[in-house]
Amino acid sequence: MTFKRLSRRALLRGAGGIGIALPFLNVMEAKGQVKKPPVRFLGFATNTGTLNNGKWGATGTETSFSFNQLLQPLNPYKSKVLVFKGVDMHANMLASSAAHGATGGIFTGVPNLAGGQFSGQAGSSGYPSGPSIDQVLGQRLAGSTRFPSIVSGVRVDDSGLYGRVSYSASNTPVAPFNNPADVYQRLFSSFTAPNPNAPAPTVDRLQLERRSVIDAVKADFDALNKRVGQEDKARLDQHLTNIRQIETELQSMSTATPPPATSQCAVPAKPSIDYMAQANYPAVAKLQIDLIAMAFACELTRSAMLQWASVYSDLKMSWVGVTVNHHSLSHGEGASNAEAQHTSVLTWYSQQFAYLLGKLDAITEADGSTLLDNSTVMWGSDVTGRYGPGDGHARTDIPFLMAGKGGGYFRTGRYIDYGSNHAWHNDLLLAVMKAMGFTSDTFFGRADQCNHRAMNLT
Amino acid sequence: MARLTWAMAVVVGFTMGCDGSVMVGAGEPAALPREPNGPNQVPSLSQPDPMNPTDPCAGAPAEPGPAPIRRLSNAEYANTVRDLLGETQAPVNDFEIEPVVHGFFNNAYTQAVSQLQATKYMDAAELIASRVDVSKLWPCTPTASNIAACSKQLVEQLGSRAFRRPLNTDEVTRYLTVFQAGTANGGDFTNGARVLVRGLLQSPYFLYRPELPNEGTAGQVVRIGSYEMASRLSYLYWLSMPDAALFDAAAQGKLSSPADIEAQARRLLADPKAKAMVSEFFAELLKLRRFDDVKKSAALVPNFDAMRPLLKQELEQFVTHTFWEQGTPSALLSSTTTYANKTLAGYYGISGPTGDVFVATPVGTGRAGLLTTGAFLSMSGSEELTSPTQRGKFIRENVLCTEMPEPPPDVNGFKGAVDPTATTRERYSQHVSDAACAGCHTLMDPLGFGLEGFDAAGRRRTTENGKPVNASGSITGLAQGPVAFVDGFDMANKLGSAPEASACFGRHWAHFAFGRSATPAEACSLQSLDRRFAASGYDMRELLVLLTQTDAFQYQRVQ
Repeated sequence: MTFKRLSRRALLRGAGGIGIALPFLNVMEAKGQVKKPPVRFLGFATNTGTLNNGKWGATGTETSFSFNQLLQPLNPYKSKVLVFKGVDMHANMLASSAAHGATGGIFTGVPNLAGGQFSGQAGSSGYPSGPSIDQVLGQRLAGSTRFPSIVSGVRVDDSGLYGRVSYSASNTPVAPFNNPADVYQRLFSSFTAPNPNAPAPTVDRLQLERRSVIDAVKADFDALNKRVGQEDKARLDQHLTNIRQIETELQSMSTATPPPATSQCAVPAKPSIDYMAQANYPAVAKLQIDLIAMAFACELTRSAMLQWASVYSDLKMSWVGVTVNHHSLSHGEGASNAEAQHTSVLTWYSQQFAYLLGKLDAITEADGSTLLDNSTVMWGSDVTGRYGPGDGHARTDIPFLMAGKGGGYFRTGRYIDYGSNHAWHNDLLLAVMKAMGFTSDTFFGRADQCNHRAMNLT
Repeated sequence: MARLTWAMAVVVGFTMGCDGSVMVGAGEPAALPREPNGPNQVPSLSQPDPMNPTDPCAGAPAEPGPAPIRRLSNAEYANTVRDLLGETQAPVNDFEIEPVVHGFFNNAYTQAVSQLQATKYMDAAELIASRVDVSKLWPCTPTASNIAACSKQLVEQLGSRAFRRPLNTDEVTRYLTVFQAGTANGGDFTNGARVLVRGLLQSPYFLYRPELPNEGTAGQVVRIGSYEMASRLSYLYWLSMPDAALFDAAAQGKLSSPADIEAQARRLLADPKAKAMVSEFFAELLKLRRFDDVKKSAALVPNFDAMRPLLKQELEQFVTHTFWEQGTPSALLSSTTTYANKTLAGYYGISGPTGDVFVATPVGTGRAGLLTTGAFLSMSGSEELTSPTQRGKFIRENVLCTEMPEPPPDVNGFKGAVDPTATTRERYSQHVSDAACAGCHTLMDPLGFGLEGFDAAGRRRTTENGKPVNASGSITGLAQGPVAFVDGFDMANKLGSAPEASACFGRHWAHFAFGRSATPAEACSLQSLDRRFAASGYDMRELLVLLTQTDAFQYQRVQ
């Protein structure tokens, strides 16, 4: 992907006060002290757990350890990682739910709603009963960046319970953007530098037209909502909320406060790819990671989720010689060399995680630290995976892993074995909130799932 | 959790815990208390059962069940912009994937619009508006001197087709403003029309099908309004907006009586556009789009990539021809006519077709119906091996309408080494020997074993690893008791003649037609539907008309 450098250019303002803002212009010309960069959060969501026969995790003592086989790709970033043993999704053991129902719990820390619309094909669970941390951060950081959050996907091919990890509220999944072109469109399209030889437009007609369309559509929703019942209104309100969010993002093109930027914020090239083709999975992965890293670097958002496939995806990683879908491999099924194939799949995901850490670590912030130093990346899955305690679908010993120093909040480069008194993952989520600046928070998700034991993260 | 899916007179739909306990309740209609007849109650359409003089449904008032607001599904969106604006390449492949509930994409309760989808609707509206032939939209020729009146006419006419009902004065004013945003700042009349189209396509009145009674007190049961009935009919039969004849009938109030509705139902069903609806129904139920990604190893089949489109075409043609020419679930399950060309015939080892064109042909020994088509058989399993559990699960859930619960969270993975000399049936024996697994697997695996006479690529086999294939078993869970079969052909025929299978296809049509499951309160109305479906000989073409004669189709409860 080639990057275009933007030239310095005055803010264009037309007669109507509408222009195309170049948000980082002020910092390029600013002199004076450098502020501490903000902390960013990224959730990295895979599924069906890992191989619990010694291939995951680490070996050694807290400060003198080596990664086991599946985490070897992370070696270059060892000093910026926290690897765990003994973290459970305790909140998702509270109510019985389907085998992979805890997909919804990884980043929400709450159980699913009872019953639900996926009966038969997806068990009796509904969606989770609360929001996920990326959305909570987006809501609580609202206004500090142009976009509250971005949820990106790599071939997420299920829009039910087993294909959603991000929730804006109880029972309200957030669909990931599977197409890197859509991510680009939302985050970067307003960055396009105008033709220096063309006369400055007096008004942006498209923006005016869009505003008029949105006004009419909102008025239709308001009229309709007065007449429908409660249940219908909830669904229509969600649609309307999202239209309003689009409106806000369109308006912010002209009114955003220029955020501080790193010297490496640059407009990426517009991607174009057949994003649901299985063979393009690695290329889409790279594009999505690059876009998130640049979104952070350009201070467009501070909260992101990167979601991979889905629990029952038919994806087969042919590029590493895998011929069976991940879910079957996670049960040791589908081929006589199932474990070898499973190892290849899990190793590939570790390599993507390492690539992500590398992109973040290569971006230098205004104070000399790296973007990875100022991020907290949380890798989670929905079950423990093969060979683990309880086998298969247990919610104990989830392969959680954290990377990035969270602006200095986390004391990284350690292997934390929680021993027989397992940690509960709500406490990881709570620690993330604190690292992001919400130091007075006392719980995340459910209070009775937090403060279970000392976490030793700082 | 007990859930009443569309109850039929025969017992279907019991759920089973994996410890073997049977929880009955989801399938059988219980005796319902009679609702008190109030002054505003509408007389029932349900016919009392003459054999049962104390039938609790006798004289029961109409019970339409819930009517959650329905959004256009992606397929419906594409068809609607085609019929409204002539757009043939609506970008619905970029829309958010729709959740599958009870086999279909159109469950009303899961149709919430995320920010991604709202963005997609905006992108699609802008793209479609940029391509529409504006000259075909104008009801008058716009000029500088008549533009006020002419644009108003445009808004009224295009708006009423887009919203599928006349606009009120507020709405006309609202969308005139949108048109004018497109002619301001140097835009011409064409741009105005394009901006108008963008607005209309993002309105909830376009994207959803609200059904808002103009009168009635909360809780009262009233007839569906004329324009809403026009949309109900067109979206049921065509997955698209009403045609001019339906709009006219709505305007004249000629969609109010059961006879009027039935006449339109038959007209729409006979229209060629209904064929696409039936094809979509089967594509969703059989998950045909997933078949595009199925791979088989070269060791099993050297040319599966070349065969895949032929196998898919066979299944598509089979269900289409069988539906329109015979019409019964029994034919779907047991017909021995399939559709193939010479290459596909060679794959199956049958003779008949001689060219590239697909023609009807006897299916050959050992096969009957959709369960023995190569595409169905290849959709499950791995690149080399069959999966009797997956094949059996499909039959149990989609032919016998028994919902299978998910495996419990603490299920143990498959333990031990796989014996490479064992047959598939032998390898799957742990499913039934292990008590924790047997409760559910005895419902699925035996049906899958019935298809072990076909390999993972859908070809017939009589041996596996040198041992003879055993495809015998018994269909459990039927009202008549267990029904033994000797092989896949026998099993397909016996499924075909089981009333539960016919009733199950009726249920699928009801889920697809209404975008929701049934509620217990609707049991009487559904009994009536079921009786009439059975009386037709389980003709699904007739069922599609009978669906419009239910309380759920003709009435709604005021909110």
